[in-house]
Amino acid sequence: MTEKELMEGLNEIDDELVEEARTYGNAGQKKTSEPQTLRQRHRYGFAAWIPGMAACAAVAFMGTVIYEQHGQIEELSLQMQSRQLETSETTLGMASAKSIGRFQSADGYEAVYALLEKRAEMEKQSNRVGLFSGKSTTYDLVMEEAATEEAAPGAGSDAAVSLETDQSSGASGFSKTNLMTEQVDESDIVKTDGSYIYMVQSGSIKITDIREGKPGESVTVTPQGFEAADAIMELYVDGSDLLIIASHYEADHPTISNREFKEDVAYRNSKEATVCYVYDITNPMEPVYVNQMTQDGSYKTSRKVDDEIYLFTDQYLEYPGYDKKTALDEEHIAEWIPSINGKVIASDCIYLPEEGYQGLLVSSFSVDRPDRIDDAKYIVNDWCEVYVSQKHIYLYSTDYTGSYTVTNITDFSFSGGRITANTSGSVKGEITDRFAIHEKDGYLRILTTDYSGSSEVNTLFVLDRNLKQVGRLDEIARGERIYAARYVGDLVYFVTYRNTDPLFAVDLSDPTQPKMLGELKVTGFSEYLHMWDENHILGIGYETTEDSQTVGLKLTMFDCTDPANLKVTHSKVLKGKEYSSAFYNYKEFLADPHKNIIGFASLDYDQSEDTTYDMFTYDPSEGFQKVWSQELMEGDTSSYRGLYSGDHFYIVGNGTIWDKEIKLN
Amino acid sequence: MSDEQIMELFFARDAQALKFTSEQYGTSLERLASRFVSREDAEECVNDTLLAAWNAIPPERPDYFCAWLMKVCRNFALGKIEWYQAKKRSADHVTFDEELAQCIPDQKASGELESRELGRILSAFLMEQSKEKRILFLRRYWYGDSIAEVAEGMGMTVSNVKTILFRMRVSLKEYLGKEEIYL
Repeated sequence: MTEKELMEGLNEIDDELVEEARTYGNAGQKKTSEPQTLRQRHRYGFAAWIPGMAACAAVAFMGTVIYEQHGQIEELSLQMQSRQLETSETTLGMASAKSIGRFQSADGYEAVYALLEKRAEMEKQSNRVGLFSGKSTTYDLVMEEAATEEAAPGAGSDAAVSLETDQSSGASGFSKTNLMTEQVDESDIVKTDGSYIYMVQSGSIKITDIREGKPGESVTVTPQGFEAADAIMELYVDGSDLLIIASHYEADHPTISNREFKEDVAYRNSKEATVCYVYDITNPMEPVYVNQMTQDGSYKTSRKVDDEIYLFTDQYLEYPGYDKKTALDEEHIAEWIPSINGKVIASDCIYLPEEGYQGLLVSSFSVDRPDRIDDAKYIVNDWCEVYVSQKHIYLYSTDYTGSYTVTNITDFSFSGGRITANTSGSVKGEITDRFAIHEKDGYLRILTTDYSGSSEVNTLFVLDRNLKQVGRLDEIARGERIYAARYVGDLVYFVTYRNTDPLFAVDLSDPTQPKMLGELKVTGFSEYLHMWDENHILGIGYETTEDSQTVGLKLTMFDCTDPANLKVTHSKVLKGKEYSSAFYNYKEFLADPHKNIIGFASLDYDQSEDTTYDMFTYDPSEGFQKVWSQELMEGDTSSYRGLYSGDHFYIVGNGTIWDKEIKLN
Repeated sequence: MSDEQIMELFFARDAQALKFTSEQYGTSLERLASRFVSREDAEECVNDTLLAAWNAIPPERPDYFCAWLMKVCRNFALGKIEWYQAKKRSADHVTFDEELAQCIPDQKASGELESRELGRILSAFLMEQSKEKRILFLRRYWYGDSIAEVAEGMGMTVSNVKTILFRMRVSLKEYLGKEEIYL
């Protein structure tokens, strides 16, 4: 007997048994039928068309006797077939909710066109040059704002790494990328599977054999069709699959350059896309190209849950420059509707606000089959950050246009590749730390800082599945802003700063009544928090003087055995060290309590030769001990990663691997 | 709309039967199919299932309409699986392959037992189990739910579910052995 035969045999069991398990449901006492609101016309789309068409489709496919019996539906059959072909052959995405808060799924591409036409008209009236044509445009303003956000300390990218995550691989004995959410993998520029190191290296991937405990043989992989303007962003290693994520840029995109231009409205003539290449690395020294996918937009981030990749790209909508009839023609639709692998996103998978053009495109596919897209959604959501929990995708963006700052949040859920739009909501203030947002047990907990009053003030919000507020804690650390946050079970620890570093602990066990437990003030402030063990939090940040001048980087171990009575057990100041890009990208940290290793790159602005990657261990009685300091060749600390396999440690970046054997207790 | 009412529409050759079937069960069918195959293939399975229903009813009148649809859909999905050619199937789609293989007394022989006969034996095995175990087994190996989903649905821990499934697999292997299914 084979698995296939057993599966087929299972399919022949009594209907009664199947029904029993079905009605018992996936959640024990679930429903026996489905919501009536579901309408997935572009998938099993019979229901979406006029009733007669459904039968026609059956007729058209099978050519059975039904055809003759229902002659009156013959004509409709052709229509149905045509529409089916159009939708299944040319579009992607599975419809979910029609309305998610302030967003509505597009009622056909006409609705998308109307949004863009409205914006183009506004552009003309304000006599602007255009959306994408260069100086003094709205687009530029938006991008400048985005750049400012990136540069500002804590603007959505700084600080702590999840306390829940475990960077070590336990029994397998090699390090993994420092993750935001447990079991939700993230791509990075360097990965190891314990036997090989995979490193992004200027337009290629360098694979190095480390099975002997030191760098051995290596090969270089350059993706097929890779062009000079393309760049490799990050990669995943998943068993025998290597997934390479690259950006692709076409300066003079043919379909765009052919279009007719309207007066006073300018257009891009370039196109950005993100390309994922898959290589079979059953033998890593001989990678074999498998297939690839191309998604419109510049690469933003990605996640891997089990074998499923969720790829996020920033893609703004552009006024097509054609009249409506021409723009909606099949020949031109892909020029202005976001597409993946040559298929445009189905209109009911495009979510539109009342106005806007900056959007986020997300797709899902199996890591070894990027050519087959499982689902896709596109939302015109302004420039946003992405937080991915184990089951949900939250997009959040800051709205500065009102009398006070607001964080807008949009919730999607995902499972096995299916992406479902749920709802949207907002809270006052802005999220200043990537780890200040966290979901647990259906509650979304958010720490924000509000700058709109006479002085900054922080608030902790607890939202339910509908993104409705169920609890909040106000007036936290007035005059200071949140630098780092860490949620651990029913607790959240966070750091604010003015001239001392208060570490707060808040109890969230009752979502409706968050309760402040304790507060600890020390000099300096932490930019990054990592749960070291159940009773200790590692903080990495700056030491400062009483007048707030930084004197160096600092490692601090906080004792949180009693959250109401927080203590510092040890700290170590790295004098002269002024900066680490790891504060703004948690994946640059190596922080592995099981291996007892802490590593990151840092530099001294005044002494370029003092750019090093340092590794430390922590001893409960002696504190932090430096075990390795490697001088780096370039001042850009973001290019380097620390990793280990067994007792062999590696510092990897810019094509170079340094190795060292370190026996740790 | 009840199953009986939908059935009447099928018998009246009213195409609204497909509309209501899709509305009522489309998502469940798609979800089931997508456990085994890609989304694109899953949608085809659902369309094929609706088509099969249109062609089979009448004369057929299933006692359990949804279960009948599920079976048809699952069959289409299994038909799309490249059982022997696939380098690696998605863990989300058929993660339970390896688990199921543990139930097979002899994996070398094949093709000597009718699916229907095997279905009868499996039904008998399941009827000997408690209702909870039976549902748990079918949610995992028939509906393709993940262990975590089964645990959540049954109000059990993941560990408990794994343990029960492991014991059931061992038990099924013995059962098939006793039935002399050394195929």
